[in-house]
Amino acid sequence: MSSNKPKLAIVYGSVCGGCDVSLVNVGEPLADLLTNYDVIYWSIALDGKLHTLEKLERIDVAIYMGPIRTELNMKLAKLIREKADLVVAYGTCAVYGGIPGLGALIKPSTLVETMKSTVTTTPGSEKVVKSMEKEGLKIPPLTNQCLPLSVVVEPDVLVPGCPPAVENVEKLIDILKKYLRGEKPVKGLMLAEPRSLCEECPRRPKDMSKLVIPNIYRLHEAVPKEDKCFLEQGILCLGPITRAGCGHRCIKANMPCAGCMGPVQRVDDVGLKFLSSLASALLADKEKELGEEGLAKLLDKIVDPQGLFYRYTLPTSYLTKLVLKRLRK
Amino acid sequence: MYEPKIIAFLCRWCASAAADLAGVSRLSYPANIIPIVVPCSGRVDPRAIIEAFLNGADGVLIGGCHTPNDCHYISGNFKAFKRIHILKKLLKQFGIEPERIRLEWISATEATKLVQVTKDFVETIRKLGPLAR
Repeated sequence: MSSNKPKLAIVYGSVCGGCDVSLVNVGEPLADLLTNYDVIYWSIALDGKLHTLEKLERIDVAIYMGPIRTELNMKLAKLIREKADLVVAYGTCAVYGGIPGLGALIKPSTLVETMKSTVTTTPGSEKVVKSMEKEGLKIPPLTNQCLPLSVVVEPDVLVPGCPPAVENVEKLIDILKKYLRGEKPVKGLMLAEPRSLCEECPRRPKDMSKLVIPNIYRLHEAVPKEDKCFLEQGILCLGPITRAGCGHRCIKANMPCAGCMGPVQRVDDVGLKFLSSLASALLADKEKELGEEGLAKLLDKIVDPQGLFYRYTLPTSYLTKLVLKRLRK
Repeated sequence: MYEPKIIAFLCRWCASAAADLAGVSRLSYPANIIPIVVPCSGRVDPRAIIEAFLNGADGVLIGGCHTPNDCHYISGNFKAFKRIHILKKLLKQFGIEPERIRLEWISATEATKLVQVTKDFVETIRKLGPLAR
């Protein structure tokens, strides 16, 4: 099928499927868009094959979802950057690494071993893989690292969020409509607010500078009040260093922010910055009373700092860079 | 022989004054330490520590005023304590030895303590070996 419409490819990394749902979730605006574009590759909706992408000389817009975890993901990522005029990194995984990025520091062989040996794997799946291999089908091997698209190639538009909020997807669709008229967005456009989530939080305390975290509770230990700042209640919320623009969905559902929108502008390492701000506000009024031992005891209530601070951004962390530098030597 | 590189963030009011005193008292301490004077130990961003590691340091020493009442800015040393405590835990999860960071309270008169701490710390790092190995 050939037409003069601009070509759109929606390409998958190691995606969970949530990004696709969020894209379809916008409803009518998407239908409008798809009548104006010729969708040439979209695994969930079309029977597009890799060689159809390879044959094309030029794609106009490519949307990439998920992190780069396998050799095939890597190939696709480089392919779309080579051929597409406008590359969109869609979802937290493509921008920062996301949940699959938590495996960034674990050896690929260990990951595969765990996958095969734990109960979550369907019994007999090994047989299926072997019978597939007999027919000439191969499962692509894992890459050495788990990387977000934004580190491997330079995307033109970035849409963070796990999954991206409806408002931001609508903005993206507007951009794609403008692209039809020949208007190209500035390179590296981030579809989120540059300021932090706290700045527009409905629970924002009157004076942020006097905020004191009175204790540390894990989510199952406390019942959060609906109208009070999470940090003031001793529940760790990543709002202070996370970008706004998600419509504070979690806060509205009485859950603390987990940081899926990534760091605010001019911050490049979520964990170290949050650690810093946490240390300033935690028990700021009782430091001398408790002394070092008392403080240490309370700080030990943070059981898993890595998982808490870097839930969505581990592959872009400076500490990961440090460790990988060490491993490679 | 392997010589470790150590960055020392010394607070302007206590630890760096102790280093000055060690100098005028002609006490000698290992040349592996590269001192950087900061206004307060509470001013040392965890990012600065990681940046030091990324740029080739094998250990980082942070020197501040004694708790609870010596800090010139009232509670900066407690901020430093909390930061380093969590950072050490974080480093352990990443597989980096937390012993590579050391926080010490050294007052302006304790030149001998500074000398002792630096000697000790250099030995610890020497045993651990270079960070990127």
